[in-house]
Amino acid sequence: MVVGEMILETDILVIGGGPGGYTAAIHAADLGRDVVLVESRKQLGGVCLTEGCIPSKTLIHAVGLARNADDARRMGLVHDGISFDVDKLRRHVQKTVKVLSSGVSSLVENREIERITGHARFQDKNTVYVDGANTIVHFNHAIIATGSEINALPAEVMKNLPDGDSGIWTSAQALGVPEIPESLLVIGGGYIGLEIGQAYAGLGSRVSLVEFNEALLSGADKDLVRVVVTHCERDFEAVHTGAKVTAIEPVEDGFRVTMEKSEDESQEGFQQEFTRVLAATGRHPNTRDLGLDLIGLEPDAKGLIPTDEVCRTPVPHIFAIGDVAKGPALAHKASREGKVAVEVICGKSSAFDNVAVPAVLFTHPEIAWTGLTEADAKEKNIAYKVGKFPLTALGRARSTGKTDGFVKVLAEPESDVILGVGIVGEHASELVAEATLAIEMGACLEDLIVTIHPHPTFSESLMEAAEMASHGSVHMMKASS
Amino acid sequence: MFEFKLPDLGEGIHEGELLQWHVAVGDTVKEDDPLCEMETDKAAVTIPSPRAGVISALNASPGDTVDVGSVFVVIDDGSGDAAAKEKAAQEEASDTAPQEKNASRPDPPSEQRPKGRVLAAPATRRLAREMGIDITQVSGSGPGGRVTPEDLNAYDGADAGPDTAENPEDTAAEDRASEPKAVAEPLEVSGIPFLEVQGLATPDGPVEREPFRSLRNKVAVKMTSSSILMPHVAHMDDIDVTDIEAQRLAYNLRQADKSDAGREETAEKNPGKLTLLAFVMKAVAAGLKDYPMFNASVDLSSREIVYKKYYNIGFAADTPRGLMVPVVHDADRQSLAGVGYRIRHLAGLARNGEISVPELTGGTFTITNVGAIGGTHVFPIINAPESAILGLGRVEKRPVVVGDDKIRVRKILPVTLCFDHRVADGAQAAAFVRDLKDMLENRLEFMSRI
Repeated sequence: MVVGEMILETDILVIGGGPGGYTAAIHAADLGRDVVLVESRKQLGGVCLTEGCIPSKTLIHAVGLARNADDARRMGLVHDGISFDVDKLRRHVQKTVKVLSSGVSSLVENREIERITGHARFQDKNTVYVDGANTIVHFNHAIIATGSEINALPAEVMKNLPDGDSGIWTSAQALGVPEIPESLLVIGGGYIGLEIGQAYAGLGSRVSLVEFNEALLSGADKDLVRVVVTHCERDFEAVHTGAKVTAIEPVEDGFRVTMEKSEDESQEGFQQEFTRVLAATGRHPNTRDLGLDLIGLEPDAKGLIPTDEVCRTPVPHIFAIGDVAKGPALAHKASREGKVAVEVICGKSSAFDNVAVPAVLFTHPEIAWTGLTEADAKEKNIAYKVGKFPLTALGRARSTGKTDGFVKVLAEPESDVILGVGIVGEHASELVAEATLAIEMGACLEDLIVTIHPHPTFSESLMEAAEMASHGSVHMMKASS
Repeated sequence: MFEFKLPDLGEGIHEGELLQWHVAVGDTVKEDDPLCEMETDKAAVTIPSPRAGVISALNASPGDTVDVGSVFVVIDDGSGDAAAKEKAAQEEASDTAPQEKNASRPDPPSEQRPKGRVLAAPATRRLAREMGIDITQVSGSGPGGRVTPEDLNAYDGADAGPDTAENPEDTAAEDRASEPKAVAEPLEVSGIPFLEVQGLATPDGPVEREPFRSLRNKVAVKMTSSSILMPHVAHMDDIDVTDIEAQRLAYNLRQADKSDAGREETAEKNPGKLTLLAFVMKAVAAGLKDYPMFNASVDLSSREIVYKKYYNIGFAADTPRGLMVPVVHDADRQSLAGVGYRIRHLAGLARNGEISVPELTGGTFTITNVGAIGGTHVFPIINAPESAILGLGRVEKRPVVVGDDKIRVRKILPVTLCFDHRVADGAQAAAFVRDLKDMLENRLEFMSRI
């Protein structure tokens, strides 16, 4: 023992104060358990709250207002063009994060949860040492909720850039809105790249995007993605799919980037200069520096900790939730798992038996899906029928001018049991909640059809799509026979 | 995985009703942790876990009838294949009667949805877990095959016993199964290592059979449970009661005179004769205050020792109906004469079958006085959920070596303290009994402490 070391004893140790970890800590305290919460950041809320979901959605909302104001010229709104005060925008984003994070801190303090700021590493199966707080915590149960972090670009690509601060933006830096660059290259065509790319395009940057795969947003059904790609092609200066960045070198006022088509090695690469470059090239679980080897836990090839349906690792009193465990790396999945793990520790009959984990992309327009996707159904050879309802046929969509997009419902052919829902369009992120409930409840098409949906709202589109899957919608032309 | 089959619950018992689970799926259990309460037509029993591990399935819900020999709990003890082999071997060896019974039932729903998806609301899925039902085995009555809470309630599991009242065919099967067995082999492999409940061999001579009834049955249940579930330790000693007996007999002579004078006995004015039991009870009540572990209970559900701050001392009484344990409430707060009066009063009520339930319940410690009939040391079984019992042998005159190496005739009371080793250790028992001995051998010690 080192002089000055603190030693704490607790029933449940939660490592990581993100949406999974803080939810687990609070839930455990509410169930009467003694809890210690370790978080390496000063603020609680994790990537989601401090440099992910919350700041990005704040920024995207602000940009959306500007876009709406532009669209509204058609409706007779008169203005001399919209522009942003970057300093004010930045402060607004920061304040939003600060208010929410201190809210989480208050909730944690309110439960008298012992909170330690530092990096926890396991020493043995019942002990961690928290670096930065010089504290040892002995625990009966632990929940690992350390989340994930952004992948760095390959060293080969980065070799011409200065060590330390390379000048390449991470998503976290981009969301801090340090400036509105004249031109921006987004590396990575996943949802983070698209969301931030579209946001900066809305702020006035000339945005280019490069993606290694042939398709953007792999994982989402192609028909949903197509609607967003149409917007990207309009808003972005260029979209290079099937291409990769091979080198980046600093130049005056920016970077010179060499790209080449990944398919065709023989073809000469092309070069272009950008004021800023954003690396949005995926994430990896934070499981490398936790001392997992000392407790006999071995992450798989992707860095994920193996868990069962109650989030229990092979070490029975240690649980893993969120981005370090299997499944999509999403905040709402992490927080649900956090509750499951705590309830299991407290002897309750709980399990992560969710059928559907909704995915939401705050692109323009939004994409959301839940349950089975069409791509999945085809790959796994699952029989389904599908009903699609375009927003152009929806009164409320017309009234707002947001007619891009559609809702589709996948159902079992015989039983009409709803298997999955995909949505692209305005408010997709909100509509997917009802669809998820329907799937969790084991609802059939008729359940959605006979439920009265308020008129005129976007929510009617889900009911209409269910009708399309069943027998056809009142609001669609009859198919010619 | 270890598949725990419902062990044999006693001769002629083929099934039990599940009253209550003490565990849920996902719980970690240690060996001997209580799994559930089962009630047979004869008794209620707590079934302990035969293994340490994690509960991975509970195949019955409260109210269900479970056949002896059917797998009703699956415990993940990390043993994998080895356990599977053992299970196969057990299945070969096990009694086939329960399977035969099931064969006459309509086919249980076993078709799983393709894709392994369970069609049920989240709350229903949780209910299924709480009821210990594998919801994938339940066929749903809702639209599209959705499983409803009613479906769960109606589901009695593929292995559970049928509702015999509704199915005459099953009644026939039941009768077959309940035919007495004239075998000497083990009735059933219990799942607890080395525990084997032997069937009764065909008797070699004339016998008379008597079913366990009422009080006999209660005693059997209590004593079996207590002796199996509590680690008993006995601590024995001899107490020299020569002086206290002399005092007591002199006192009783005076009381007899009062009674002869026609005065009515009451607890306060004229309590009547004192028995040695009254002295022992007062000494125990006083001593328990210094040794709370012998006035305690184990709360299995919360894993806590419950120390009682009240001293209700029961005493075993042999009655025409069987063994009863009347309780002297607050023995520590009553006078010696008061305790003596209560003992005689309660024993009288018990003998005449007039004793009430409150007078038989609420005890925190028990004294059994079987020595009054005969014998030296006894080895009593703790009266659960209490944590200790004091057994008194017969007071006898014995040659004793006293202070100056002379042999004297002394009256000796042999005592045995049996205690639950989970809550107390031998040193505490020795100290407690030494204190009792001090009080009963030394009049001043007694007077100063009671």
